[in-house]
Amino acid sequence: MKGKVKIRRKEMPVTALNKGEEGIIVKVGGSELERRKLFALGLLPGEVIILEEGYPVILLRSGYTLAALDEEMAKNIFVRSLGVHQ
Amino acid sequence: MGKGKRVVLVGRPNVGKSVIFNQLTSSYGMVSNYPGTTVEVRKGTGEGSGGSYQVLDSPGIYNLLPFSKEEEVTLNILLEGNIHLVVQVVEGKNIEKTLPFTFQLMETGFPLVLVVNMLDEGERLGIRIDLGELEKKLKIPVVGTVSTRGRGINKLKETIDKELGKKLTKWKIPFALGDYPPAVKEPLQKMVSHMEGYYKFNKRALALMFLQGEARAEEILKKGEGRNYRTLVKIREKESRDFSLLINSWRLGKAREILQGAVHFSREKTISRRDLLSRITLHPLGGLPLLFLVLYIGLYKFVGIFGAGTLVDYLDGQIFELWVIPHLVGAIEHLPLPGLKYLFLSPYGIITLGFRYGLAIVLPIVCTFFLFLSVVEDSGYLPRLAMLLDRFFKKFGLNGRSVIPLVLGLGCGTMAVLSTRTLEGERERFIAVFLLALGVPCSAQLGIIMAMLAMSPAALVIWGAALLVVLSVCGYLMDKFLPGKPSKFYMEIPPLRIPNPGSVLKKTLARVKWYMKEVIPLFLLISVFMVLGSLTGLLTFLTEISAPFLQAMGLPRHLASVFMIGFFRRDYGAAGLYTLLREGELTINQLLVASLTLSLFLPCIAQFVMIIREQGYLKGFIILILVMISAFLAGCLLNLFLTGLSWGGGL
Repeated sequence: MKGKVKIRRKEMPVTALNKGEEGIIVKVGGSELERRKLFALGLLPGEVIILEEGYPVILLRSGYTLAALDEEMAKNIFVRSLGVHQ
Repeated sequence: MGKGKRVVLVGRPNVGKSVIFNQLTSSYGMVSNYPGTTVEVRKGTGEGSGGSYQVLDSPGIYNLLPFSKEEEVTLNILLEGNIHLVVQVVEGKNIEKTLPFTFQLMETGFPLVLVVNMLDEGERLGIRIDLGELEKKLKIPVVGTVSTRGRGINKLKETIDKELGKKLTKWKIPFALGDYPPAVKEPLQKMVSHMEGYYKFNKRALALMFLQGEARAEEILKKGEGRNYRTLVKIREKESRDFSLLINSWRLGKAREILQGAVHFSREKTISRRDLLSRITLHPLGGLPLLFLVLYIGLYKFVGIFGAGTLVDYLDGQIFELWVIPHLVGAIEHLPLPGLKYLFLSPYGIITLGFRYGLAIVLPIVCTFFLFLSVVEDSGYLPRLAMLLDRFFKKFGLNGRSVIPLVLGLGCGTMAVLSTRTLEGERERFIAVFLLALGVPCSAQLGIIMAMLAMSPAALVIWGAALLVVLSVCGYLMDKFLPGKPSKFYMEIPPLRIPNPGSVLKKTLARVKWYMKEVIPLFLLISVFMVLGSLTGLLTFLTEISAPFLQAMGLPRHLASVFMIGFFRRDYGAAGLYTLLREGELTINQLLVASLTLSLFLPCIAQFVMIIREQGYLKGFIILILVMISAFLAGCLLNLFLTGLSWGGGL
């Protein structure tokens, strides 16, 4: 029970990442239609993303794709942080 | 052999479909670096060894599950268009993310050619794609291109020719890539074996879309299966599985597997100068100043000062006034019928009003605006703008995506209303169409108003501020009173690209052609109407009716005719103000009020027809009435405000 708390491994919405931080997507929530949009942009569980910018919209880079999402949309993406990208 | 066959180009937005379309068909077409220009399907003719074939350019789409009205167009072409060959265009560097869509297309059973475009962009990033290897693995023809430079286009033409020449085989097993995991495969097989209807589309592909809850597939199956439809629903619901995730993950995994050994990364990407510029445009602190710079140089300096000033002065002042009109007066005076002279040369005559406004005043402004817009579009700047303005637009019930129709509205409102199809919800489409009808001045109108008000920068600022206030207040009220919420924003941001001069020119020409085809006949019609109106006294009658309204706004009564013309074309109405100003019949305050009211007033008739087409009669007339009321109120308020400031006769 107690040993589960590992700060770096915690699941969190992508909006909680710091700028420049890398994360691996673990879950994509929201309505069916919204999930389909995110999937279409290549934002699927297992994908690695970097948070490029957090304001005025959330900018996620995944491979060579750059996706802009508003907060409502982005908070449905849950990631596990991989630390700051070099 | 390929005669009369149909080839459709599909792909994501911004991958160069339209450039390829132009090269395959050698015709003018709109190409752009943002979703939304290919709102209507363009058709062209390509030449093959077996005769000519038809090429269709479809709106950009991410996969076969559409999100907007515009994307549905592409799906409909595939579902019902009697297609013989599908050509999918993908971006070299993004191939991993787009290959899942390729699989989806393969699953439909259509003969498919994969075009890997923008190879140069990938090469710059150190990505080398082994096209032969890819072809071997996918078992479909693969062609590499750099469409903007024409590289690979001949090979593509040959490939299309060869594919069209082949005998169409029966649907084959989609591809030799193996099958979905059991969790998907089993219900899928069960569904296909239960399907009884006849479809133009591959059953397995249809079932896959149905499993993911795609509305169009549900509709088709409901029709095709009748009572049996319930069985299919049962199969889907039985083990409430996350089919979207299972299917999409499998496809992406498959894409990786196939690309292993077919794609080579030679070096880490370095930050080039363009990357730096790209970063600045993405950053709020860099993006906004850049936006003002783009607007200042592009809109104000180039369109306003050069187009609406220098060019119009030259065409109108030199060519028309000193040369065209005197010559025509001379020619027409020799004609036997005196009525003709009136028809052609009276103040509302076909030449003095119709041709002169159309060619000397509106044409140069429209040309410069569309040239500016084409450069901005092809550079990939608009999606960045959409992103920066998303938060702001949410306050008016829109989201960042609406930037595109609204910016296009600064060019031509009619075109812009058409492009509201790229927006997802009914609600947003209605608000965007309303704001376009209300207060987004089209390029010609904008140019003329800027030229008129340019002598007094303060007046220009007041006009601009008043317009923004009215738009904001109306948008805000719309958001408050309409049920629902703005839909969420998501958009792929393409890289910044240096616009290709050829494609910019082609696009500008296509747009100007579109515009002129609509404008010139309308202008002539209006001239005839106005001449008849002034002869029969109809114009005087209408002036009498509108006088009290004009008085309330502190405007002279003969402005009524200007407003009347304004309904036919807003720019045209603005041009009428321009004449009055030159003759010294208006004070600057009156000019300001008139400019604002006219900018807000009725949309031009072409735009109104388009509004009816897109929104229906009921909503169309609601928009019309709301616009009239808002324009009048805003005019009255501005007049009160200005007289309150007691600037007297001039600023």
